[in-house]
Amino acid sequence: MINLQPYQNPQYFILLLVALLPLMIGLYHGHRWRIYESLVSLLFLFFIFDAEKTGQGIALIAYTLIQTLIVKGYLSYRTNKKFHNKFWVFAGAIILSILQLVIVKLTPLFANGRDSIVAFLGISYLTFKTVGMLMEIRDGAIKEFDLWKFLHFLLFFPTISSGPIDRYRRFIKDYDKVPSQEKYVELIGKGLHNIFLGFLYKFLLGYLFGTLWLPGLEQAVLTHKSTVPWGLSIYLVAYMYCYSMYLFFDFAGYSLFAVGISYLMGIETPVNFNKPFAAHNLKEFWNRWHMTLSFWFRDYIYMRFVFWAMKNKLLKSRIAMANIGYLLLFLTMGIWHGETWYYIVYGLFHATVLILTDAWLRFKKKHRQHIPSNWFTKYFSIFMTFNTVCFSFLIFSGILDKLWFK
Amino acid sequence: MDVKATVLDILADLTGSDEVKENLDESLFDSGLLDSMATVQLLLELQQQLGIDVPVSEFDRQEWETPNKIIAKVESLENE
Amino acid sequence: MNNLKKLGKIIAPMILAAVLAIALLYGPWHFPASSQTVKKASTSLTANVLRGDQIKDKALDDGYLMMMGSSELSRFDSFHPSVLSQKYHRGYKPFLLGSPGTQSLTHFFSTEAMGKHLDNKRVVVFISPQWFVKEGVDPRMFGSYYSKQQATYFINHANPNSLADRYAARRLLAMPSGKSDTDIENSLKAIADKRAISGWDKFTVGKLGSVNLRHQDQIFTRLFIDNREQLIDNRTRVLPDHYDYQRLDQLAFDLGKEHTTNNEFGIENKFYQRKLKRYVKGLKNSQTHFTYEYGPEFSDFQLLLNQFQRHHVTPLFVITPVNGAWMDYTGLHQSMLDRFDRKIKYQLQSQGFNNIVDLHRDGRIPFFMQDTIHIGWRGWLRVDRHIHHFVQQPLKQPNYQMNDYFYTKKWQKRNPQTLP
Repeated sequence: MINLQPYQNPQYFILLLVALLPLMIGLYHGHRWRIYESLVSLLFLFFIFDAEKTGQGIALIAYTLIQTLIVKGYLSYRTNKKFHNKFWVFAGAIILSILQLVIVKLTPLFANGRDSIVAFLGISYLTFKTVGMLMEIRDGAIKEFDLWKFLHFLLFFPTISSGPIDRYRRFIKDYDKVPSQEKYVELIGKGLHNIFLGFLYKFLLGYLFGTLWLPGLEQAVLTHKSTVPWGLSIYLVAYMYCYSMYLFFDFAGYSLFAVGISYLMGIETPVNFNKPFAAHNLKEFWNRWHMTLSFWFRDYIYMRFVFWAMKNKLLKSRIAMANIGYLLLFLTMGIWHGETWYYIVYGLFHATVLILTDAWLRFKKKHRQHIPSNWFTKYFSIFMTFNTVCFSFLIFSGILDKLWFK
Repeated sequence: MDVKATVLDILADLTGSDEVKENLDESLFDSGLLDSMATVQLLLELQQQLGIDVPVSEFDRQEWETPNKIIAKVESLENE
Repeated sequence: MNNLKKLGKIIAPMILAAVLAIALLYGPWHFPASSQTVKKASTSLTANVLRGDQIKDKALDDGYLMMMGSSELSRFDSFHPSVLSQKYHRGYKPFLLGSPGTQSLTHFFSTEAMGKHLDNKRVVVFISPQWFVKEGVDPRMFGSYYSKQQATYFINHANPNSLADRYAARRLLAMPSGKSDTDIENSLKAIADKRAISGWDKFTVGKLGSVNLRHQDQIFTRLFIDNREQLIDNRTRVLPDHYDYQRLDQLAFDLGKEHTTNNEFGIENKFYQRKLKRYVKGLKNSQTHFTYEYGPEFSDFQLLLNQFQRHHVTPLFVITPVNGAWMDYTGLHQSMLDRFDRKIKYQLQSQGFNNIVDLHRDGRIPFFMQDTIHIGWRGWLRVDRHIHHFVQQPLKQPNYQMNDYFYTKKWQKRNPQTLP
């Protein structure tokens, strides 16, 4: 049985390019051959979820059916003039929509680390898409439902396993049209560039940091578990940087593939990384790191919470409200990563540093004349941000759990 | 009071500087003048002072990037 | 037309790159390794060499003696086999295979891929008691020496009817490495379940993958080999012109004494300064509960023995000791080491592997060890003498009686004291 996991080896890329070639020729000549596109998508989805992974495939089909019903149902409700825009209907739709994800996320906690039978590769990312849609339907921004387009959006195979997370209206705009020849040539150029850069990131640098260096460092860290107080040896520092580099190159590499392949299909999937380690502060970092996820949380959780809280005058202080928003956002993100102490501490750590960053920025604004700003402060802030981020990844890596509690 | 003056006042108030009134084509997000929190406040102020309703979903950063763009957007929404 | 030109400009270099890459990786080429490369690789201890295959195959054909082990191989003092055999005619040219964390399973896949080049050869295997911890080899350490090429070779030559091959497939599947590629994973699952490998997997792993990986090995392995030839040259300088065991042993004693002055354990100064001094307090009595008597490593080791039987190899096994003063300090029990020794020797001797140099009680001889668990000075000199005798003996057709019992959990859990 043929089973192809996305982007794992050269054969995958060769097969994919061969399959996409007719589609690309069509786009170049101004046609989007939708039926062919759908067949290719279906085929590659099938290859991800067949053979050993058939169980996951069934879970995905069930998930797709349920989500279609929820989105379609809620849209009918919202577009029917008879009904008012009741909050509890919206809340109900959201709860139903995230139910399967919640089950998947909680199962390992109650079943000794075993995976749920309703789990499948990419469930989180699909859920982000549908929840975003439900919120936009509530706002009246999405007014139409086309089953075919919805399925294409939800199951867009280049991004199915780990994003980037696209938005329905943005996706449909691309899907509905054919880019001009000039524009498409440009997209092919960018797409191929992304794919080749992805090779460098994921298969070279990611391999170097993650496969060649990380295991030895982890071994060294754990050897010094009981020899120094708290196991805090110098190797832990090396591990921290190595892990951070691995995390970046592995995931940024994958994201480049997903975006690159999307471009070849004439879909401008948003990018996920924009030189994250050049950020001057943590706030800027989150505008550069795993961007589609942080923007998702920003737009659908943080801004909505703050909007709602301010409108209802929940708190007088704007600062307090922003801070509670941060805590809410990053706690949610931490729990989403998994129900372990280190993911949650990772979330809280980021929220805390962001609150401090905001305080610092306010202070800086007030005392602008007295605080120097030159090349040194600029690079110093980049250096500080980089190290703060790496430290948070050290928490995230879970090695402290092995060091202290295992 | 016209829309332009109102919007600029709101922006100056939110960013805490008159910079926005001088350079109407500066990106408010790139420069860090407007963050998510301030954006939400902007939407609320627009609602209270001008009576226009912008749901968060309709807030596309690219369309609301500079003072000029915001003014244009608000004017078009007002005429709806 | 303008767009077509632009498109051409974008695609042409990519197509060229792709065609070159495909031609290089899948074309009917062979890039032989030179004797010079093999010589450099023989002492480099670079993980690439271990993960590759071509250089090792050539080394075997050129008459090198494979020396498999782990971290002890990197202790290059003047009495290291690579140094002594370069200075004097010791009758063998060592090719060192092993780094910190390489254990039986890594050596199994490495030797498996050597195939017929291994036939009727002699090899030396250094057995570290530390490999035999309860959990077996650390999956992450295994992962850093994992070779797709060797896994592919194993899959192409595995026989699902052999218990050894099924066990090896299961062990590899238990590691993240074995699951890093779906086609390889599926093939391993087929072998472990006594099924035939599917046509697709046979094609991707057997045909496409193996050519590609072989070429990668031929092209890239040689580019990243650490050079220790200078170091070895330097180490020979202090040696007298003629080999004389007594004289060399005295020299080893003197050099050992000279280099172990900053601690009471007879540990080499630099090692102690860099790796131990800061932590030494916390290590007192930290190893009283250590045991090397149980676990999957015993069965992994059996895989290696099976390999030797298949290829009529005559191995010499060196069981390495632990520094005695260090054992007393950390509380590691000599009685536990004795029991380990009994178990591993039972596994060897009951199947006809009788060339054993058992050093497990020699950790108290002054300057026998270079640090905590690694042989040095006088230890190396002794090891060299044993290897010298080993290679002088005429080769006999070996006769091993393999026993699948050693793959079972029962054996892994067997208390050494119940052994005959």
